[in-house]
Amino acid sequence: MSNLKLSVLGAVTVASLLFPVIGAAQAPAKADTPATAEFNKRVAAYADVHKKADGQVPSLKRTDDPAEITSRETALGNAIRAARATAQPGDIITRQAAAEFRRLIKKEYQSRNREERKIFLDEVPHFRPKVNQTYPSAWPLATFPTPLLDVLPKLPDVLESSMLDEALILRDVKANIVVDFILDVY
Amino acid sequence: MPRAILRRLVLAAAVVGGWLAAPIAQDLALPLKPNSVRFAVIGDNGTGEKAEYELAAQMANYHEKFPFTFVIMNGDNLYGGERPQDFVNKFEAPYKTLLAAKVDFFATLGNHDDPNQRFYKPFNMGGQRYYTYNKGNVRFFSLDSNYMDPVQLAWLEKELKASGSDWKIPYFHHPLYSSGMHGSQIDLRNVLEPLFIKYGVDVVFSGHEHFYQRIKPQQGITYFVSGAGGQLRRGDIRKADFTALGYDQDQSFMLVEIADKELTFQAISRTGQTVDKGFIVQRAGAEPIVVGGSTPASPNPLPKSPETPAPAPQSPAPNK
Repeated sequence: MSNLKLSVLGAVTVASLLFPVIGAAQAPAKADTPATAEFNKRVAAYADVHKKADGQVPSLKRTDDPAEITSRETALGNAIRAARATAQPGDIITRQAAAEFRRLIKKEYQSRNREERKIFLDEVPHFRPKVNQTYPSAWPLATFPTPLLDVLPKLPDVLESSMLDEALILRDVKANIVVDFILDVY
Repeated sequence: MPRAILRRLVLAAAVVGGWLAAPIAQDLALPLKPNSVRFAVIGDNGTGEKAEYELAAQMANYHEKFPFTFVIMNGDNLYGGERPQDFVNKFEAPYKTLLAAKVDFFATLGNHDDPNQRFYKPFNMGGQRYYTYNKGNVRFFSLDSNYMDPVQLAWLEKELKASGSDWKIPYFHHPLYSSGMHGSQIDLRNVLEPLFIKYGVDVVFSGHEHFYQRIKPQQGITYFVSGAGGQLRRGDIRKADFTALGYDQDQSFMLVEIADKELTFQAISRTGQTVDKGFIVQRAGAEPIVVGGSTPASPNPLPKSPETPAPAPQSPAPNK
């Protein structure tokens, strides 16, 4: 083999080793995809609604009186419901974002073995979600699978994702209400 | 009746009789050293039912002998609702004696808990879903295992790294190791255990499973499941190689004392029976020394731990 051929072969080998790494490093971040960018925009708009509603109810401080906590949670939920009276499924998780989330969740779920799937489904609630409903106190909150928190878009403090039976919901943590959801996620 | 069967029946009756007639141990197995850190551990307690009240009364009894100053709560503090009366019936009333004695409770969130519990002052969460605090030479980390996102993990690593305490004790609801209905939380283990190992954690407390279980040291860390503070899933401990000892026949709580490099523990049932006791010597880059003794009353065939030199049991131990 000539020196030229060896050089070309070496360059190709080095390039093939380097480019996947470079490619991975330069791959667009999840937040940069059109679907997640739009989702993040709508999440930010929801956070503004929450903030405005939060300002309309008495501020919640640490208290010995549980009635203050529960009444404040209810009042905040009512204020958000009033501000989003016409909210529909898909208002925040758009169809494109829903497709992306379903793909990520299904991929994660299908990568699990039997034992890991059992953990994924541990105490997953079985109710049909509705936008603006108070999260039913009779149901626990399923532990959200940690690997999914790495791949789904980061949410502001007031929101978190939660799993139901084959559904993903966005829940307002302070108001304890469902703000959006998608079905058939795994 | 054939003689062999009769003999087996008599033997079985004798074993069961001996087990039932075993003396109820109400002795304290903790050293009560001066200036030690003393606390109790409960989990899955907030049912508001009779068993929770009876266990709380037993805790108050032991508080007279072992004046612990605080209680860590492993989550599921309030089941089935967060109305004002739930806070009363499932927390304030059962622990009235301890609260009156100025015992502080430090809660963590379980999967049945509304995160707004963090604003309830008697839970001492400082308005945070996860938080840390010092007691003597011990730093506690109360984590929210319902939602272990990268932000919480980064916080935990920062706090573990910054802690100069002799003992670092994380506690949270979902156990990294357990052999009950829910099983080991592998997702959480994958992200938490490397941090625990890296920053020298020796002991971890969790709940979620409605029983008591002590896990053999895993990579140097001793894990306890204490999730029968009100709930109970009788007979739920299944066989697992990592089990050092389990008890699933009654509600239970733990008492813990830490003095210098030694942590002493005692697990106690609703009737006051000591179901496990022992001590852990803080490791110095090596495996910990864990010595446990027990008087469990569980019919489950748990494996015998070669790492756990158990002294002669005080009563039959059918699960060994």
